[in-house]
Amino acid sequence: MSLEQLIINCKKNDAQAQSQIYKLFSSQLFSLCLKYSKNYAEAQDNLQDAFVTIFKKMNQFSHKGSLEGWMKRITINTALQRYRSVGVFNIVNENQIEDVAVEVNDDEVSLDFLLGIIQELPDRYRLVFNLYVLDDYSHKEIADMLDISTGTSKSNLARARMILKNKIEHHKTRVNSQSL
Amino acid sequence: MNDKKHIDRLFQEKFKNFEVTPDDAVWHNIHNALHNDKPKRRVMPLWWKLAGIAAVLALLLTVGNVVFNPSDDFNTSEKKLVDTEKTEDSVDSSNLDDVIKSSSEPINSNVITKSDETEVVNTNATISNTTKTVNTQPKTATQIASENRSRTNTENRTKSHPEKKAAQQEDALISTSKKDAVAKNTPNLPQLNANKEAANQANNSAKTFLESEREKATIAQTKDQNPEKTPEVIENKDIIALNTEDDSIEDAIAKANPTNEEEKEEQPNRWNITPNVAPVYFNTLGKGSSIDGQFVNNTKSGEVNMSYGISGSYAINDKIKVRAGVNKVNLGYSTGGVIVYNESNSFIVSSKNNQLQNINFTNQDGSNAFMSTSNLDAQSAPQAFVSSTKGALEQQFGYIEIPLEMEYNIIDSKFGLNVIGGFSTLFLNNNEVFSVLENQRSLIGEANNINSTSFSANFGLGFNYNVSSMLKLNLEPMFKYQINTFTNTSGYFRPYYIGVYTGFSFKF
Repeated sequence: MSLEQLIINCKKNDAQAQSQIYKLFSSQLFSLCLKYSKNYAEAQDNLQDAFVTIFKKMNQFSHKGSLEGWMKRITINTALQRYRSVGVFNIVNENQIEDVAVEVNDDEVSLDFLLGIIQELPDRYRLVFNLYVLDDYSHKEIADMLDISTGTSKSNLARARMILKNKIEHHKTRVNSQSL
Repeated sequence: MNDKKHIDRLFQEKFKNFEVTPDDAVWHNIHNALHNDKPKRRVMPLWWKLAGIAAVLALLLTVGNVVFNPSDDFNTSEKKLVDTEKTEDSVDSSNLDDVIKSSSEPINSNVITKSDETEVVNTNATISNTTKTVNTQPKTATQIASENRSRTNTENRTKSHPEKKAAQQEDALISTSKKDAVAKNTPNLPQLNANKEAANQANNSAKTFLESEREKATIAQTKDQNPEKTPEVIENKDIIALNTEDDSIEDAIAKANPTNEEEKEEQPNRWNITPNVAPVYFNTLGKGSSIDGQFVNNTKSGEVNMSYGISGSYAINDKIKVRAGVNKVNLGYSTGGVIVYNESNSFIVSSKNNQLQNINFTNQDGSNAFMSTSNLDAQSAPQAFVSSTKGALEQQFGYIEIPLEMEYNIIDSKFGLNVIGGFSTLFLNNNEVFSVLENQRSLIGEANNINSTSFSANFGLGFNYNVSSMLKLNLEPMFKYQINTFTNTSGYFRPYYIGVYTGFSFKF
């Protein structure tokens, strides 16, 4: 069955078509959820909420962009919503700081490790870093989505990079010392 | 500055093909969320509606029983005493006629509703037949369309007057010509054949056409009643559909959650203020007397008085409201079959005390004495005495009522339906007993056994009509069972009153 047909059937709340769509996109969207969430369990909750929203709002999908992009945006929005509604943004010093140059030797770090340190980031740092670096949103868009200023977005990104850099370097020295 | 991109690129490259398969449990949860919650939601309201109907019936039966079945002992005692009063009997017989009429009416209406139902069933049957035949014979869309067009036309022809025919055919043509657009724009049509999940593509597309066609057919049928309106409806539909199409994805995403939040935050009209007025009917369950033991078996008839007041309510959520208020309520009832005689020329030496146990008399001269006719035997009593002294005792009391009640909302639309329960605290502010003798009414005193503070348990139904978002019309039949009203009653005296409260609610 073509994707078009699946979408049409999904709009009729057809369980089989929904299952097909889920099989096609769940792992891709789950990776997105993992990046935006603190841990595995939260990512699963996120994925579940996102898919429920996707299937309920399927009627509003109008083929202007790809289904994949539309679903991604709903998933990201669901992730952001969690922090908007819970209101657990860490209160940090929002002073503007200079962008920090980070140099990393990228051979020695695994994907799991990188995911781990992303998840360990404070909530808003994690969201800003994901949105800007991995999902190509501009600071203006991020500022609108998170209801913060662009300056805060930039500052958060710089701090996120700093934290990630420190963790990677710390990890590198530990791996090197072990191997020596 | 160039180095900083390094870390970004590191993550970008690593996460480029990053995919993780989630647990199967996630899909089960999603599936359950989408497909299992619907029937659950429907069970409760249906049950409540049925319960509401049952409550209305019970209330009407109680009222009907009180109104149409005056107690028998009234008539028998009257007959014993006064032979000449046959007017009473004729009144009773006319009442009986009323009862017979009213009982025959519902039968007629039943017949009518039955015929209506059969009509409805017939139309349903025809609709399902046509859809079935088209389903079993797969045809191209145009064939189906033309077939439907001819069908709607023939329907119009049979139903309509000849002079309107042309206009309606035109309308039918418009509706069929718009079908393509509608079929595309209304994607969420209700799925009729849910069982046929394994249907192939052709069947599916045919179905959507069928559904839209059927919608059109029904629209065309309604057109028979008001032909001018339906084209507007179709246009509106298209506009709505177009609007939903035009909504950008961002809007759709934004709508997904923030709208819910806004809805929650809004709820502007939590407070209501309701002045109300009600006729109240007081009576007692069981035999008894609040005045004196000798009147236990006498007839008692409740009086219809007025209650008025104001109440305020607060909506805790969509379903539940709490309300309190202040009402002035007057209640009264009369005890029939009372003999009033002047003690000064009394020729009867009655063993009974001439004073009544629960009345404090205002006149202490004690010229009048009271007796129940049940203490007299028609044969033994002197004729002159019997004929001259037919009277009643009328007890009036008024309260300031402080109700504290809860409303549970069953239906919430233009017309609303609530169930109401709660209790009232009643503060006595009026207490009088009159004697009524040949249409002369004179105050004889006050009851000494009415508690200054008493309570009532309240049950009722609320019907309301939303005039605007600010204003609502209410009609609330209430049953209030009084508790702790009298300290010292004879027999089984259980007072209650029924009121039909009407009023306006102002929301703010």
